Amino acid sequence: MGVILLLADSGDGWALQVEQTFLRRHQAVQRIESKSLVESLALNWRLDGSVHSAILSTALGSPQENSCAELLGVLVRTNLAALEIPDGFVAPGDRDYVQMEWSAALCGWLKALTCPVVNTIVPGRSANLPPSHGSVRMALGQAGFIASPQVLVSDSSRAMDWFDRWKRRAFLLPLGTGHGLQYLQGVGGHEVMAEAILAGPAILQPVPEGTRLRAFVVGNAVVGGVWRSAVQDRCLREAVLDATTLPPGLSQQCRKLARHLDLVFAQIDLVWGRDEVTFCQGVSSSPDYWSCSDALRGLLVRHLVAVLDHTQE
Amino acid sequence: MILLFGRIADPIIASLTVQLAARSTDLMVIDPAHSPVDEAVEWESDGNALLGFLRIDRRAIDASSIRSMYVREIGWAVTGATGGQTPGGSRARAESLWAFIEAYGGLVINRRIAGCTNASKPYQLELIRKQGFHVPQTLVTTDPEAARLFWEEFGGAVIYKSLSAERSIVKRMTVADIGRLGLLHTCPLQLQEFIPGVDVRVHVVGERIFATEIRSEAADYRYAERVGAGREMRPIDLPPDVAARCVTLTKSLGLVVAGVDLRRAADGEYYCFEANPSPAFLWFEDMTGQRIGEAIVELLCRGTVWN
Repeated sequence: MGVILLLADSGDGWALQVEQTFLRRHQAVQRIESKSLVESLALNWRLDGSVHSAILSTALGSPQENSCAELLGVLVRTNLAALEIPDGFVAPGDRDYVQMEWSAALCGWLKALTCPVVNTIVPGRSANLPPSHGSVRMALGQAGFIASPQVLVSDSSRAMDWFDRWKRRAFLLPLGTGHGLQYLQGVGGHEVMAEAILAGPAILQPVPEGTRLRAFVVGNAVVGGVWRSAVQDRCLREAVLDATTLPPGLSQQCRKLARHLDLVFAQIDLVWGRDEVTFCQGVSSSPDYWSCSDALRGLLVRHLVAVLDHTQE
Repeated sequence: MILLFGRIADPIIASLTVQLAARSTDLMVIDPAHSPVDEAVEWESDGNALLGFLRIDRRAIDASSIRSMYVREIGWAVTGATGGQTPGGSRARAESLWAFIEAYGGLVINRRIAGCTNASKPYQLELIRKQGFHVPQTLVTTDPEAARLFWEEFGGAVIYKSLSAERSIVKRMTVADIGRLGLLHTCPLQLQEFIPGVDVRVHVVGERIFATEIRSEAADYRYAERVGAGREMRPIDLPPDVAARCVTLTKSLGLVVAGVDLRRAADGEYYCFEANPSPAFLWFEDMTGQRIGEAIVELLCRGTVWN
């Protein structure tokens, strides 16, 4: 029986639920924490895959060798760019080099695997991409989405000017921080934006007229998320998403977009406007677990499990 | 306006600047070493194209006037395979500029993601193989025994080099190295079968190629002097199918300019080792007289790869 490998910490909601699901089914699953990744993994693979290809793990206390051929699927939630090298593992002067080499090795290994990898790492690409990003812009056009106007600001007074000009409603994507897209409104939005700009530059987008949606693509499945009406007007980071069914045409567009970006698991922020014109505010390869309702999480986890154990239609 | 991102003291930036200036081209060098690190950068986009002005270095550049960009260095170097970064300037400024470059729809030599494919050499090698190139048998391992068996399998004709974009000298693995394999458990290593033959560096510039043959007894011809080996370099014409494959590979990696490292084996087959997204082409120009920089300048002035 194949093994499911989870590269994720115990605080990662998606990985934890996926792990629990497989454990309940008595399916072999192995989760490796980021802090013990380089100590736990022994990589050994030939690029042509013709000879012994193995991943040897001591993560569970006793040495356990899993051939790559036995891997059913891999869920990657660890930030490989910031791999933890434990103290004392290597000489301090070698630490950065060792980190880069591990990162490069894992990135190549994930690319070479023939089983589902959720998600393969694209070197140099951030998890949260604005519509202005070259690869996204091209993919949006191919999928039939419209990109909203955007402005990059790195000065809070200029950011406030834009926010006021857009009647105090905007989407904010901080750059280089790992934080995802946020919906800002009113005085609360001002505060969140000021805090974000202090930490670094951000992309701001006005909010088009229409219904704000969040679509999740998991393999072939597309699940919609709609913001609970009671909190529709609050900042995105305080709101909760409920599952909804998206129109087939829109689902197909989302599927296409994720495929163009080589993402198995993707979060797509949308505004469904008049005449069924859909604006895209951003794409993330690291969907936000915490904004989803329990029911939506359960649905997405079921799809993740189906992708990883090859049972998705 | 042509924007050049990099240090003016960098020989490549200096060379391109001189050639562009000789053509009376409107250009601006955005030098991370001489830019105010705390200055705010700002730009606008309508979702498809940049609008208004890029505000940088106390200047406002009309976005519609930008014809092309050449990116050598932003100042906050991308080093990790997944875009991990190391300090070298203002992170905020670098993030703003990278986002600006990504938002620009015109010619960029080269974009960030395209430039990052060789941050993981095995990742890039997979992409190279998919383009129909022969690639050397490669083992990535942290297992000393597997490394030793690989070495034996190829009769000791094995080289090793770094996995990441960190510059490393390609070396032949020797008997003396066997004793050091115990260190592998802390850091993976990339081993490749040694392909005997002649090195060929192919500089792809849009659809043009400049192939240089390098004959050297050194495992890494760049450092031939260090091991007392000789080196001869001369421009050559590649077989048309190999030349076309180099152009296709460059495009498939999202690059406009690349330095593709090939080796022609004794049986005439071409093996591809890697594609460098920011090739130091001046050395090849000096040694062969090939006008690679001029071709890049022509592209930058034209603003498109296509005629």
